[in-house]
Amino acid sequence: MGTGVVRPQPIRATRPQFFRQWRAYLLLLPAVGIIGLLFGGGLVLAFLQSIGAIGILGAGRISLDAYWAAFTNPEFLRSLGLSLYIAIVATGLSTILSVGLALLLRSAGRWASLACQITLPIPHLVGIVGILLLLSPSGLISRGFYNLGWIQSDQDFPLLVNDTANIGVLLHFLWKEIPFVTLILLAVLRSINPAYEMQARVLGASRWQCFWNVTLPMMKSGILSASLIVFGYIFASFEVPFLLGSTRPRTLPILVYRAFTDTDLTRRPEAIALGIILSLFSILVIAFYSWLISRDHKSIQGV
Amino acid sequence: MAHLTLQNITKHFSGVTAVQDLWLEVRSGEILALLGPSGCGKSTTLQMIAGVLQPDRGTIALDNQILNRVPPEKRNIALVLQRGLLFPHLTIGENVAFGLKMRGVNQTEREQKAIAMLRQVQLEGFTDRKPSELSGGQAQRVALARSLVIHPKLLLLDEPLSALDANLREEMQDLILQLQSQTGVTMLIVTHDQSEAVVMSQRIALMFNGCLRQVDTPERIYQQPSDATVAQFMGGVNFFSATATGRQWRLSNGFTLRSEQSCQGLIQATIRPEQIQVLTEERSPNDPLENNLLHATVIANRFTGTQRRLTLAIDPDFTLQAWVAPTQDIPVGRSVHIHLPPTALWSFPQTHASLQPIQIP
Amino acid sequence: MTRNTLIVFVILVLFLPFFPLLIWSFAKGWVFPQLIPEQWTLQHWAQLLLPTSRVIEGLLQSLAIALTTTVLSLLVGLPAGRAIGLIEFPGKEALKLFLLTPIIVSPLATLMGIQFMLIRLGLNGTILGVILVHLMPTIPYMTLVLSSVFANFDTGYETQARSLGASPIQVFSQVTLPLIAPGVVVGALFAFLISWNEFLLTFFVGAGRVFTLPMVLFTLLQGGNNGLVAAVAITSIVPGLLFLLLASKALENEAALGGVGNV
Repeated sequence: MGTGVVRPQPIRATRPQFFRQWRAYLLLLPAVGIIGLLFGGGLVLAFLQSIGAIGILGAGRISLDAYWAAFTNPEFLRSLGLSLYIAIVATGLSTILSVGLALLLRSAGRWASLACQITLPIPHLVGIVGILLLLSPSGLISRGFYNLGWIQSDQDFPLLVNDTANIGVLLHFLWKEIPFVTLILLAVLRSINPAYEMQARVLGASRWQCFWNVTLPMMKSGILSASLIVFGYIFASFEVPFLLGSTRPRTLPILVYRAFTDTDLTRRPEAIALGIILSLFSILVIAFYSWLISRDHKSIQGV
Repeated sequence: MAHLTLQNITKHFSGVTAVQDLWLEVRSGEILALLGPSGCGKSTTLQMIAGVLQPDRGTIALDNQILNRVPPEKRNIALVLQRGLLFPHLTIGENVAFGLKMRGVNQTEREQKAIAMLRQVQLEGFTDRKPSELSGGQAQRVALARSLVIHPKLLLLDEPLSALDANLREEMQDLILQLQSQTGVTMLIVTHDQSEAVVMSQRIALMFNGCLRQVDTPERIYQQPSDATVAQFMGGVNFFSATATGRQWRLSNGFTLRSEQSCQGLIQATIRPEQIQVLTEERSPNDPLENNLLHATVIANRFTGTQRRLTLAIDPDFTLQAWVAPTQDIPVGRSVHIHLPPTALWSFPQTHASLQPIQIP
Repeated sequence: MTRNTLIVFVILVLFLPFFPLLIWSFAKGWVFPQLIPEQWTLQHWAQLLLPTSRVIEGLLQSLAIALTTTVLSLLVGLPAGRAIGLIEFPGKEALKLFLLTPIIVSPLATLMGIQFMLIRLGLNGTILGVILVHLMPTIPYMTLVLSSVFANFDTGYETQARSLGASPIQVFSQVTLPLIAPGVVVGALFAFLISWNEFLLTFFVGAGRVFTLPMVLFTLLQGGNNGLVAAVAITSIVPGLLFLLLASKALENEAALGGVGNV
C-alpha cells in the first residue's frame, strides 16, 4: 500500500467459512450427482464395454483390441480429419462473423436483435430441411438461377448439399450458430462499461485501435466460452452431417454410429472405443480452453 | 498550455435539453471547476469537449483551433473519470503507456516514460501489477499518470475523487494540484461537491439544468452569489426581503440595516451564516457595533463537530442561522445580540432574481 | 445508413431457408424449374392431423418431455446456480467445468454406456429414459445461466425479508424468485429448446419407441414427401418460437445470457 492510510477491516457477520462451503457442496450435489451418474457413469460403462469387461454378449476377455481395431480402421483418420475440418471452419467463421454482427447490433434497436435471434429456437432438423429445399440442385436458389437464365438445367447448379467440401453442413452451422454466439456476445458487450472505450478514444486510440486494444480484449473470455460450446457441439453433431454432409468420408460421430448399429455385434466394442476416442478429443479441447482461460484469468478477476 | 473556448453549446438527448447555450472560457494554465448538482449537464459538457459526444450547436475551440470535427483521439485532451477506469486486461505499466502506444511510440520509450510518470504519482514499482490489485486511490493516481504521460493540452477530470474516502480525498487533491503546477496543464474539473470545487479551482463555473448561472472566483461565488439558487447550492440558508434606499436596507419589522452595497426598491437579500457574529455580553447603545446590531433569541443549537449552528429568532417571522465557533455554546432560550457586518450583506442583482427551487444533493 | 442495410441483409439471409419451407407446405406438385408452384393446396396441413402421420403424437410426446425436462433441470439448477454464483469454495472452478462437460463433450460414448444400463433397468425406449438423458445437456445450461444471475444477486434482500418476518419459503417465493426471474426464464427457455430440438439422445435412448417431433421429421425426411416434411418442420418451430417471443424481454438481461459467455 503506497498511501500509508490504515483502514479498519470490515467486520464480517457471516457464519463460519466451513459451514458456507459445505452448504455449497450440498447445493451442488443434485446437479453434480445427476451429471456424474449419467455422464460419468455412462462413460465408465462404455469404457468397460470397450475393453470387454461387460457386454451385451456377456463379459468376455479383457483387452484393448477394440482400440486397436478403432485406430486401424481405414476410415478413422479421414473421419477424424473431416470432423475437425468442419468443427474448426464452422466455429472459426461463426465466431468472427458473430463478433461483427454483435458490434453491428450493439446500438441497433430491439427488433433487429430479436430478428437476428430467429434461428435460435429452430430445431437443427428443421434447418436441415430448409437448407436442403433451398440449396439442393432442385432447390429454390437453383430454380431462381434457372429462371434468371444463369443455368440451363439443375445439372448446372453447383452441388452444395451432400458435397465433398461439406458446404451445406458449414452453411447450416453458420446459419444456426451465428445467432447463438451473437446473442451471447451481445450480452457480453452490453456488460462492458462504454466509458472504457470513451477513455481509450480520449487517450488517442482511433476507432480501430480502440476495438483491437480495448473492446476485443474485454470480450475475449466471452468469445472463448461461446466458441468452446459451439466447437463441442459441432464436433459431436450427428444429424447435420448425416443428412447434409458428404457420403464419403463420414464424420466421426457417424462412423461411430455406423459401427454401433452394424449387424455384426462383435464390432460393438470397436464402436464404443471410437466413441470414447471422440469424447477424449472434446475433453482435450476443454483442457486447452481452460488453460487459455486460466492464463489470463487473474486480469479479469475482481473487475 | 492551452486556452479553451466554448461558444453557444447546446445538446439535446431525445428531446431533453442537457446543455443550453453554454458560453465558457478556460484560460491557459487555469484550473476551472464546473460545479453543479447531478444531472445538470456538466458531464455532458465534459464529454463534448473530449469529443466523445457531438454538440447539436455551438463551437468548441482550443487555442483558436475549432475542435468540432476533430475525432477524440486527435484532440490531445485527456480525461480522467470517476473510478479511474483502468483497462482490466492490461498491467499498470501498459495502462500508463496506452496513449503512447496508440501514438506509435516504440516500446522502450513507452516503458521509460510510463515508469517515470508512475514515479511522479508515487507508484514506482507498480508497473507489472494488474488494476484489480490496486486500491481506489492508487487506481485514480494511475489514471492521472495515464492521462498526463501524453502531455495533453487540456486535462479534464470528471468527479475524480467522489469514489474515494474522505481522508484519501485531500491527499489526492494535493497531488492533482501539485502535478498541475509542475506541468502547467490547463485543467477543467467537474464536481458536484462545492467544497471540492472551492479547494481545487481558481474559478468556479456553476451550472444548473443545463445552463451556466455564475462563473467567478470561489470567494465571490460564496459571498456574492448571482441569485438565490446559487446561494442555496453553496450552502446559503439566510434569505430575507428588504426595501432599499441606497445603502439603507429597511426590514419588514422596521429595523434598518446598513450595507456596503447600494440598491433601490424591494430587494432579496442574504448573508452567509458564518459571517454573522453572536454577542452574549450586554452592550451599550453607543457601541461602535450599534449599527446592524439586532436583538435575537436562540431557538436551536446544533453541534456539528467543527462549529455550532445556532438558529436565532429576531421576531417570530424572521429567523437567521449563524455558524459560530464550537466554544460559543449558548443555551436555547437565551437572548443575544447579533451583528450583521455591512460588508457581508448581499442583495441579488435583479436581473438574476429568479427563485425557482433547485434540488440540492 | 450502411449499418442498417447490413443488418437487413443479415436478417434476410437468416430467413432464407424459411421461404422454401413455407412454399412447399402449401404447394401441389412443385416441379423444377417452377419458381412458384402452379397449384396450391392445404392437403399437407390436413395430413398433419391424421393419426397415420403421427405428428400429433410426436407433438404431445415432445411437449411432455420438454416440459418435464425443463422443470427438473430448474429444480436441480437453482441450488447449483446459487452455490456457484454466491459462494466461494475450494474446487469451484473444477466442479463448474465438470458440470459443463455434457454440452461440450460428445455424448455418443456415454450414450452407449447409458443404453447398456437403461436396457437392464427396463427404461430403454421409454419416455422416462429419454427425459433422463435430456437432463445431461439442460442442467449445464440452466446452471450457467442461474449462477450468473445469482452472482449479481444481493443476498441482503433475503436478510431484510427474514428480519421483516418472512419464512424461508416466503423469502424464496416473494423476494428471491421475483429478483432472479429473468434468469429463470432464460434458463427455462434454453432447457426447453434443447430438449425440444434434441435428436441424437432421443434417437439412441428412444429406440424408435419414443416418437418426438424430431423423430417424426427424421422419418418423413427419408420418405421424400417434401410438402408434408415442410408442414411438419413449420409445426415444430411454433412452440419454441412462441417461448422465445414470450422470453424476449428476459433475453435482454445481460447477466442471464452473459452466463453462457462465462464458461
